[in-house]
Amino acid sequence: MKKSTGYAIAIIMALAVTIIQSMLALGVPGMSTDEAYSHLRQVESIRNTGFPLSHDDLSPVGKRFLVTPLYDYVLTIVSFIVPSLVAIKVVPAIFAGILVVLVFGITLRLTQEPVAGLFAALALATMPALMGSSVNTASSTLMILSMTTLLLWQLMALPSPTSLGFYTLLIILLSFTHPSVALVLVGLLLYGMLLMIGEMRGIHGLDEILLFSTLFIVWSLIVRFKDALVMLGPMIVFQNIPSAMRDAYFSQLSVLNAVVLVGVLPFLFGSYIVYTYTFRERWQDIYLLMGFALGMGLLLAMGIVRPLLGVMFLGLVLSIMFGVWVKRILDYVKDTRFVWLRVPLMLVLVAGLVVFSLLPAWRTASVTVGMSPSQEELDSLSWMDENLPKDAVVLARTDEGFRVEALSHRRVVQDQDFILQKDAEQRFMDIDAMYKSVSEVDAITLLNKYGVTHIYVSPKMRQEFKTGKPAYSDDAKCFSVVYDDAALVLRSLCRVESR
Amino acid sequence: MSKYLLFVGMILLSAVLWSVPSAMRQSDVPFPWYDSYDDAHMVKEWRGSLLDSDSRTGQPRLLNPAHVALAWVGGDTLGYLRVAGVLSGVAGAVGLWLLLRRTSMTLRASLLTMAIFGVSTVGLFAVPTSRGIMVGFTLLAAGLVVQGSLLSRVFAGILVVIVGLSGPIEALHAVLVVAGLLIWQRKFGLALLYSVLCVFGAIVWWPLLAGAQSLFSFSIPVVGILSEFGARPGVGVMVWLISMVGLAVLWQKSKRAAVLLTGATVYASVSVVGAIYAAPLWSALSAFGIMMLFERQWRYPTLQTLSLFAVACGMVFSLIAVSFAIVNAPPTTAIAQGMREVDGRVLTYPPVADWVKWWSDAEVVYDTHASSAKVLDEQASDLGFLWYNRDAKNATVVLDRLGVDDVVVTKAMREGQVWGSDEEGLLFLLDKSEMFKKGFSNGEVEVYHRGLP
Repeated sequence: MKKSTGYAIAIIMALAVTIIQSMLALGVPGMSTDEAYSHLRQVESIRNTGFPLSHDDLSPVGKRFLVTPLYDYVLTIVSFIVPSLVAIKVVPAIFAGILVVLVFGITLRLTQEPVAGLFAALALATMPALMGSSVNTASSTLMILSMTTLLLWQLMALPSPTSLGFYTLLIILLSFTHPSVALVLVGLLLYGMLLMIGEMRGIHGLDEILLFSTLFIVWSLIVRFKDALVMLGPMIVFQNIPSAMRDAYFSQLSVLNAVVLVGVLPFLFGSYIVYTYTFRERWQDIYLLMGFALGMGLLLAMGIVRPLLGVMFLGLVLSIMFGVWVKRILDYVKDTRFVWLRVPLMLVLVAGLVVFSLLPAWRTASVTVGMSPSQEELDSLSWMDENLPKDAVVLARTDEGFRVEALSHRRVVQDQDFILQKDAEQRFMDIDAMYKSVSEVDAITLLNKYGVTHIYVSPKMRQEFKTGKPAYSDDAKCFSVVYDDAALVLRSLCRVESR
Repeated sequence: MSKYLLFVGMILLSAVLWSVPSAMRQSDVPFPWYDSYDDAHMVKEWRGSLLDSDSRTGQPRLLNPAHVALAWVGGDTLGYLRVAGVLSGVAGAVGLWLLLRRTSMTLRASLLTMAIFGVSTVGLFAVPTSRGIMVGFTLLAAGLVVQGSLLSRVFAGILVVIVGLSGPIEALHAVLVVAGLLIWQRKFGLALLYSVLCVFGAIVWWPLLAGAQSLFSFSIPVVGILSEFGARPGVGVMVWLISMVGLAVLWQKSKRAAVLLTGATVYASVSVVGAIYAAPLWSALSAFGIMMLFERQWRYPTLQTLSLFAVACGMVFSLIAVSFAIVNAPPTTAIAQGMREVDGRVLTYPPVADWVKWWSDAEVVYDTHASSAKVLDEQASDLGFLWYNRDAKNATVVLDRLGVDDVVVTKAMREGQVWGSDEEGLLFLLDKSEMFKKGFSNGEVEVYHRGLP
């Protein structure tokens, strides 16, 4: 197969991924993650003022921590072509498509075999984690992964001046996009160690690349995280996420879960390639990928990166390794009497990817899309926007905070922008107590503490209560029902007077 | 341009840089955080009477030459403290220059070191404190002692005695720096003499402190000394990083020097106090690192330019960030106002007691000093109990025993310095128990008076 044909098929594959993911996302009215609504607000802000929200009256601390302004600008640019909500649904799907082409390109560079590249691209396109993180989530993960993959490609292509220019540009962009740029540092350091162990020279000018990357990334991280660094110190790596919530993130990830999310075939055969080039053979470009994968594994094990980002990156590397394995196995078959087995073998592999990756991916996508709020819930938030006083403070669950802020345009007690919240842990516990308290006095005391005027009970939350509402809210003197449909909105009327 | 003119210019620039953040603060609260106010209080005490116990804590008063000298000068205590801090910083810079000129460093590297020392964040933190003054003296002594003339050595001897008198931690570090340099020059007899001079002061005036003060207090390695992570005093992360590059360069040039400086670097990277003394070390190593970036033949010249740009930006940003932190640091005028509202015997977070002592005439139960290991243990035990106990009866017993009349709570104490939530320990009792009445509140400080239960 010609390289151009391979690229054409990869682009068709990428388009298919983009279209399918977009269709799935556009089939539901809302977004599947709360974080998506934060991006929606940033897009609105950039459209209106040209800048993302840094000082925000609706934020619990009055100040937003800008993690991905570049991504929000990309979303905004697209929002000038299609409505904002459509933009945040479609852009991650576009990045998923771009990632498919990039994986094809890197694998092709490594193997010089378009078929291997296409298998790597297919493994990525059908990866359950990709579906889980990009369908209807507005997640910036895909853009970050695309940039990191391109960066790896440029590193492999050094010392070409164009690659150096691209590498420098990507480091600068990534440095001001997401803290996961730290992976580049860790990855390069581990790559250097692997080279030392393998007694290889590595990419041209590695010491200079490492020196520049370290100095620039450290400086950019300091500039961007100045306030948070002073506030949280070394604990900033945990992003001030309340411990209960952090535990919930990581408890979802087991080894088996990770294997399913990556895809069984890429995991098995990709791991085999890692084993081969660790203990039996040497290949510096593979070491580069392994260095980055090990770096991500390290960050994941330390609980610094969120599981889905970690699994996605590991899956991406394993997909490329899977492509390398396909090249080896096809070359092997070609040298035997069973050369006729090449095509059936490829068909078996495709079938394997369909069964072990695509079907779980479809299920993952369905689950993710199913997490989107119903039209009734969105209606309740619109009602709040139109009917609640402008200065109302709403009690909403932390993982629904962005949604309530974005759609009701009212202040909430806590959202998931934890990093500058000095009392994030306390607020998280208090919110739980405000919903679940059996003591009316305790609940009102806490409601007073945060100045809560209205309590929002989402449909999901209602299912957790036997009566569909908080136990203490029967007291009509202190709580009046102002909206009762799929969601419930209560007005808090009483105050507990202190001495 | 003459190298001396450049040197003088750098010293003047450093003095200005060190003075500006304090000058930009509100005039009644010119210094950030706590130590300077403790020093100012001690100066006031010495001005009142000699050789007596501390009028606010009842603890034995400790002699510190900086306090006594400022008390003797008289006038505006805070103003003189600021001037003394900057002058000692200048003395330290002179000492560093004298030291550098005795090494094999090139003139360019020496000037670069001086420039980095001038913009050092450590200097900003240390200048307005008595410890900062003693660091300046130690550095001047180190510069003088390597000159070799009798006069310079006698002067250095006087300086180390003064430093030794100011406290065991200062004495110990003076020994490490001055005697260490002499050992480096293989002048063991002189090293012993200066060590004895340093320790002399400490053993004369500080036996009371045996066991009460930890000579070595360690922080989280590296991170605990970085100003970007909130360390006070702290070194900028970019300076630290480029210092490591400098250290690597040094290993290739002189193993002997590298071994010594690696030891010093390791100590300075884990020691709270060591970070102040290490400012010249970081400056010299950074200079080595930057010189390497300049002089190395790069395969990718673009990366050289960008790396140097990142280093320069990192250093300047650290300086600006720390300057702003100092300008915006507590205490504020509102805090000072709150401190003036207390009366009787006050319980508060020990560093806050330094503010109480300066702004009011009240006694404090515990401050940042403890005259013995026993007092230190009692303090830890009492405060550990009171901060986190919600039982009113038990709290009353301890409060009666300590003779507490007022409790001072600052916003920072509420927001994590002492308590994590309003429901914790004494804070819960202050808000809910009838044992206390809120006497003053301005958003920054709350003063609770004890009433009848």
